[in-house]
Amino acid sequence: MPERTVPFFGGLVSRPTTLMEVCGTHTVSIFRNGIRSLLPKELTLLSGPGCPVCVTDQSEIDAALSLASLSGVTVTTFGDLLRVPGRDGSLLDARGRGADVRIVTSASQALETALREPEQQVVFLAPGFETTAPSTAAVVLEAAEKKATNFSVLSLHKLVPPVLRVLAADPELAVDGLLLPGHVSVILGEAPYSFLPERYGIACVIAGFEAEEILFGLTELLRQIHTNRPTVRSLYGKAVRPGGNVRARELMERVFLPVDAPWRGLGVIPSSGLALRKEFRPWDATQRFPLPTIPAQEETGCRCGDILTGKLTPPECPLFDNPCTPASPVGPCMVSSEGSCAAHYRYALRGTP
Amino acid sequence: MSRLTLGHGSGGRLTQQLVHRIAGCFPLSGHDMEDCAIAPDGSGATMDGFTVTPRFFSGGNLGKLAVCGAANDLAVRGIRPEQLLLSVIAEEGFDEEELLEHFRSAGAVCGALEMRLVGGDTKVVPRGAVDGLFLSACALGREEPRREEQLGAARLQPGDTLLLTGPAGRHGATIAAARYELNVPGLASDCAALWPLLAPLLSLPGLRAMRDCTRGGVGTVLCEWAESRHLGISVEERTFPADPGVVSVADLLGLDPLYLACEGTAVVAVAPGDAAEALRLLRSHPLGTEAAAIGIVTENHPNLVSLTTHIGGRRLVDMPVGELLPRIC
Amino acid sequence: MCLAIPHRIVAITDERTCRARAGTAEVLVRTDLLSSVQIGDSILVHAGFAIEKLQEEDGRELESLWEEIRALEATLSPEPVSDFTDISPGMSDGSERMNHA
Ligand code: SF4
Ligand code: SF4
Repeated sequence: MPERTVPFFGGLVSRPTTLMEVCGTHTVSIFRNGIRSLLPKELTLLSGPGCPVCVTDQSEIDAALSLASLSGVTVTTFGDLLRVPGRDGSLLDARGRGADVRIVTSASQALETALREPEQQVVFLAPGFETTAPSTAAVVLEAAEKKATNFSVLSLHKLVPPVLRVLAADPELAVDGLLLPGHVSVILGEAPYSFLPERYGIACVIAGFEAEEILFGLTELLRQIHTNRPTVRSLYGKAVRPGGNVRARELMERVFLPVDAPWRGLGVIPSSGLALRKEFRPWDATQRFPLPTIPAQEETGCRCGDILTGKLTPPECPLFDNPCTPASPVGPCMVSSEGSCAAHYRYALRGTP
Repeated sequence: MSRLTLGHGSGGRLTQQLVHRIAGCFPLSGHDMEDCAIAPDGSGATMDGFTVTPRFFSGGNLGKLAVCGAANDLAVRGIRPEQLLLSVIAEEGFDEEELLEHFRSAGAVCGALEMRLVGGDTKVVPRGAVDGLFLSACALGREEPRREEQLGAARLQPGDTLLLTGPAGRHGATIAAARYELNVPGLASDCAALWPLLAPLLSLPGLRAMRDCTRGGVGTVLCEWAESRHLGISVEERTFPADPGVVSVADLLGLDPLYLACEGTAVVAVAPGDAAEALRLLRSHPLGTEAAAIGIVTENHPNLVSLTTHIGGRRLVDMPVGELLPRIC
Repeated sequence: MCLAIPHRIVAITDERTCRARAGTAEVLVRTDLLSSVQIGDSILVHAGFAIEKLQEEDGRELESLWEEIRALEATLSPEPVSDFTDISPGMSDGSERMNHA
């Protein structure tokens, strides 16, 4: 395989080129497979805002924490959300203080928990992009059908095209090509990305997640850049239909309404989040529980926005290392081990327990 | 105000830091702080506490886990486990038959090792004070053969070959599968006593160090070795023995097999001249049929563990921070 | 951004669930998001839900892309690719590369 990998990039990178992978799963796979070590020096790969968990805002975690502190409330969510910091620590910390916080691997397990334990108010914290939102929608519909009065959802869902619009419109963003998230595209199809090449001249590839698929996607991006013909091309044809998954989108639209949403490190982005529609109020945790009005955005000083767009390197952030560390992250780039700041941190400071 | 989290007990970086802070409370403490202490006369002692949910899992139960865990901490230092003390903390209302079931399993392991139960302690605490059953096992033994220089990370040399005695992560994957309701036929914990597998290696002059990869998995052991000797370690992904069940669970839950716990799998460092013989000895034992050479100790990149991936890329293997959580993304 | 794993359906449990296998693991998967499923279908599963049916790949499109790239490369002067020495996961500025012998 390596023999085949090298010529992939051989002549295609003739000038400094910057590509960004938008999606956290790509980031993880690139990391796991050591793909960066195979890239020529002229090629820079940035990690974009592709992690729905990492971009969950502090105010949203604070809301979750206040739910978790209510007696009789069980908070259920995906494992990765447990480490994301709010103002008073993370859900993991809350669990350490005795809150009933449980990990589920599917929205349907959250509803099952509610049906099994009718005495308990079960809240499902629902993070995720378009890939995940339809499953939450399906479970809300099921809860309505089963009249589960002790189940509700705190929607933290976010949408990808709006954040890409913000990134692309940033005049300082110097990205030649985007590796687009395959799984989001499974739901959305190809159309929502067409403004990227058309308006901004950014090359786009929808790729799968195996090492070979990613290398292939990067190569196709370089080809588009080299020939100066940016477009949206899907190399993930086994899963992505050009029109996406219509049924999943319908479910999502039936249950949710786009709303302005806060992104950690990026601020509030118009119409980039999903709230439950009025008719699903009984299952909307923000309606069922008295949630404190939490300021939409906390000034943390985190510079993730600049790091995501390649304007700063992590050590240039004033908070890097003090107080922002993987064990107590301030911003999304430090939350997961694959985030740019976390990677820099471990690399620069290893070996000092 | 700082509180303990489950991450502090999961064997990675947070555990390491906590142990340092604990040791700092003692005017006198061992300088290497390995899992097992060896006295100048060659006698060794270790102790370990055990809890697991669920208490019964494919390939073992809490009782078997406790004895194997303690005995293995001795075995990897070249000490034959001979005596056992067991301390039990059980919750009021705990089923006595289940309790005995754990001890029968523990007893079977002791029988095979000719290890004698010599003492212990039993407490029953009010309902809710513990979750079911906690076991602490203390194992005692004697170096066999006696050696001038103890086995351990301190002996690692650049150029040493690293062997892994079996597929990584079988215990952790088994527990994760049970916790997150995955049905994985064929997947079982590797929970086993390592002494019979490792004892034949002890006569090799080039044997440097052995470690059972419990919490934190193979990745954590490699990181600890690299850091403790300020040497680098390079491993090759494609040489790792793999278990299909572990791979499936790791894929589904977004976990890395390198960090999943093992309870009967060890990393062995040997001088290059003895590597082939060590591998032959391991493979001739039923627990080691899949043993493989996975990497080397190197002077390059001190303190860091590098992994060459199956596509020829290189990446850093770092210690996990905190509890392993399943991911959706 | 979201972990999604191919599974093969081994049984249809009810109108919104099936049993499916990924590697050697067998799990319950929700099929609400698909219009119809059958035993034997290959599906992409994310967080317990099938989000799409997978088509068997015929590889033709990839093959044609390969051709394009090869043709392109043939017109370029082969340039040796720089040293592959970076094992740092998140680094993109190349400032802290390390050497492997
Ligand atoms: S970095 Fe972690 S939390 Fe963020 S997308 Fe990746 S796996 Fe998910
Ligand atoms: S170091 Fe922390 S605060 Fe600074 S940009 Fe990175 S994540 Fe944000």
